[in-house]
Amino acid sequence: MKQQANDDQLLFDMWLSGDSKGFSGLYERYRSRVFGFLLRMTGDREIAEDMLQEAFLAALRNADHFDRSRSFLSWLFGIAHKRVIDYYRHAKVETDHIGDTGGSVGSRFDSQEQDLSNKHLRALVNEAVAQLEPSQREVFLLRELGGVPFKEIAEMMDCPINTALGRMRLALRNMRKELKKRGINGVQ
Amino acid sequence: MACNKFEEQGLLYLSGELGKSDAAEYESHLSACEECRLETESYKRESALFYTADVLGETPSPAADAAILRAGENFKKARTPVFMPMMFIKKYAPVPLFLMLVMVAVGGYVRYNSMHAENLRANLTGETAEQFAITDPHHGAADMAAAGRDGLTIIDSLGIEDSNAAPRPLGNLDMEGVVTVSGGE
Repeated sequence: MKQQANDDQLLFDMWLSGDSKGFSGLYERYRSRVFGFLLRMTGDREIAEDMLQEAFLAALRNADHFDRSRSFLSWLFGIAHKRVIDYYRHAKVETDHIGDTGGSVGSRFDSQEQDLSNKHLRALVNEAVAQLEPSQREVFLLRELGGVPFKEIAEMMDCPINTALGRMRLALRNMRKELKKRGINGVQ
Repeated sequence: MACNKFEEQGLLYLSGELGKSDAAEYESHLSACEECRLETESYKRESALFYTADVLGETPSPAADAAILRAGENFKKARTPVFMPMMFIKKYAPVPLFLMLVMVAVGGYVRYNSMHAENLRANLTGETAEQFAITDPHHGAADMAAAGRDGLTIIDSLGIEDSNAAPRPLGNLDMEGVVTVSGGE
């Protein structure tokens, strides 16, 4: 974990000094996590790809302001999360928080996985994630894909930390229930 | 569910956000509360098996990858002129800086040597007088005689040795313009 943070800093410094390998290195490292988050939050591959580009370029523009005591990934997730919020704000999606994209996201995945068992697992987990209530899914993905601390998740979602923790707890309980329904072993 | 500790502390414990004392408190709670222990273990296991980047991550299309990397490259190029002075300084400053350092070092060395030479010349005035006294009986010896000092004392008075020290019986001006050394008895 510490090694990863050091590598991130190294790539980040290359990025700041104008070396494009720094940018491409960080992009290669984190694109699937950020894209996984964006895709599940928007439910649209094209929009998610546009947001992915916007998020990385916004990070590039604001690189000078990055607080090095933080994790690069959670900073990047913070930027990506803002894009999602802006998207729903501008799209004027009529939901209480963010759009419920869960039901149809699974069918839009364009997985290139060769390993069938892994593909199967991915499909089942994705179906379970899609069943989560949007605010639970948001906390769950920020934490599990982005490694964002709960304190920062609460700030991003503009809610008390106890609310974020409660949503996570419900998300975990619902994930467990959904995975069990789909016959996935290894869960209580 | 009767115990709320997992929600209140367990999630923060697992994300590494609990302070040392709170973490220790939760650990001791785990040994007493079966419910929280099972919850904590289940989450750890599920997280390692299912909630990974391999399972939850998604790959953008190659076209999107290429577009983003190109955008990153273009952004760098667009940004470069803004930082031109800094980039220029970073790129080219080391050469003149190095030359300046060399010039300062050489200048300092020359200056030091010239000062040292002057000091040496000044310090050796007595010796010069002595040499004069040896080579030129009409120069310097009279001064030394008038001062009532021998050549070595003159050298001492110029700072080479303490002038208040007792005259050493090494040299003696025993005739005008000639210094004899009475070393061996």
